[in-house]
Amino acid sequence: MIINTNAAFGFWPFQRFSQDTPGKMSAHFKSEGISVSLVSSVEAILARDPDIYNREIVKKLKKYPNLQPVMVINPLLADCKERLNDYARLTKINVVKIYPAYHSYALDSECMHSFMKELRVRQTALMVQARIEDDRSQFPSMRVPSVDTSDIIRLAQKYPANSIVCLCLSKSEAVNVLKSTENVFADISYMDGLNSIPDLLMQVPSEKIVFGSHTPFLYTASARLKMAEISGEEKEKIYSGNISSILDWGDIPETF
Amino acid sequence: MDLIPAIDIHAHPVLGKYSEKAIETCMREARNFNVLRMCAVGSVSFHGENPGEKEVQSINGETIEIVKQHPEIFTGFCFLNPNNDKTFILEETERCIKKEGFKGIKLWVAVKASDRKLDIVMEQAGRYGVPVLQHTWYKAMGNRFGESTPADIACLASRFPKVNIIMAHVGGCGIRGIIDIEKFANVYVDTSGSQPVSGIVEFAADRLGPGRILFGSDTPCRSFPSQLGRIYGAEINMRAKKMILRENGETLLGIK
Repeated sequence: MIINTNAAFGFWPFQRFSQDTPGKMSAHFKSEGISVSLVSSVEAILARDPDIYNREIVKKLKKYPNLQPVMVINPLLADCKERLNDYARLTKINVVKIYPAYHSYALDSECMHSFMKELRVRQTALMVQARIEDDRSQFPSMRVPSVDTSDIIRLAQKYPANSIVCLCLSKSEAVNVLKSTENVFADISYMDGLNSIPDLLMQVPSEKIVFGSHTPFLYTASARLKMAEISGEEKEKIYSGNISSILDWGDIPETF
Repeated sequence: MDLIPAIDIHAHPVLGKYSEKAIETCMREARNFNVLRMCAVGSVSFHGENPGEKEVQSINGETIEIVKQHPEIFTGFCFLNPNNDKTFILEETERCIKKEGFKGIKLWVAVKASDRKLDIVMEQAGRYGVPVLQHTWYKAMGNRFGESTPADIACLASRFPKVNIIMAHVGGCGIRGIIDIEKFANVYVDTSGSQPVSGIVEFAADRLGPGRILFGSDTPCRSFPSQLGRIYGAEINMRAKKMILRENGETLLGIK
């Protein structure tokens, strides 16, 4: 079974996606052999209040059980606790995603304190999107820096009981973060360089790595090909075992 | 997954200090992903952006050694700095191409492709019938002083219509970069450059035709699975994929 931890659906002004309907995205992931993808709203990235897009994506994906919506939270908003209550009823996956660089707050800001405590109480995992695009290829007047890995390390160390899944870290960033923390995991989507995944697994335990493709921004095929370099037991953990433990899924049904 | 045989038009078996171990890793990874041949240059960045004659000789000396040690998998490209003396450029191209049988010329960031200093390089490329692989990018933060943009490539191509030019890093040149060189039939693009961002290969195939696209990995900065994923994942037909991965390279280099 393959669970794709890093996917999004929607309109992005800087790139045209071929998976531009939920049906196309659902069929695409099936053709790649992926059983379930955790999908957040692309539009939510550029919205100060992601709520309208969160609700929209729940509706859009409803007919496609292989696309499970993940809600985007902006912890700066005063009502984010109420939103967590609402989203717990709307979604089946116990994880939320944040875009600190796009929503303009630091991971050590006051808003994160109450947010992390709330997630801990709910036993909800946190996805931190480290970047969307290569900073060299962004639209020149809309350059958004990646999330500083030292901030992620401090956040994880301050809240050791929270599970944090980092998306789109480079390999060197991932090694740095995963070696410094106990409660952080990283997806493979942005890990690159010759022999990158075998080399990564020489440095960090495979239990810390999850499969993610960053579709539709990147080709799903690249993430799938990277997995060809990993052996049986480690492959199973990275494809599905680790993320199902993080999200406490237990026995994951083939389809929801 | 059945892997299509490939020729990598843009590889750096060493990047940094010369290392047989690095070369072995590069070859092993290439074989794992059915990359049959790599067009190689020595460590172009090791001596900075504007290397002198001895440094250029050293880089090409590395390439000569790599090709001599592993002729079954590496084809040499001659690295040149157009800022160097014309006599030296003539001698170095004769040494690498005429004597050692290199199949192309590689230019990096010392001089923009639109600069008249490239004339001697292009004349030599025309004389020996080899393509010129030019590093190219459109960077959000602006290019380095001597770093070429696709517009520079267009200028060069218009002045030397009989010399084949490979615009490296179409992933970094993007949609606009493809449009810049579209009308110049002597310009090819290599598929390397940044992460495997979706949509660019499809756009290139549509506007240039698959015959002007060459697979390039830019290894070891990037991995073979990451970069091959651009071709495997692109929504183009199998015929086009085979052309991009292997046939176009064989034809351009005359190694069929």
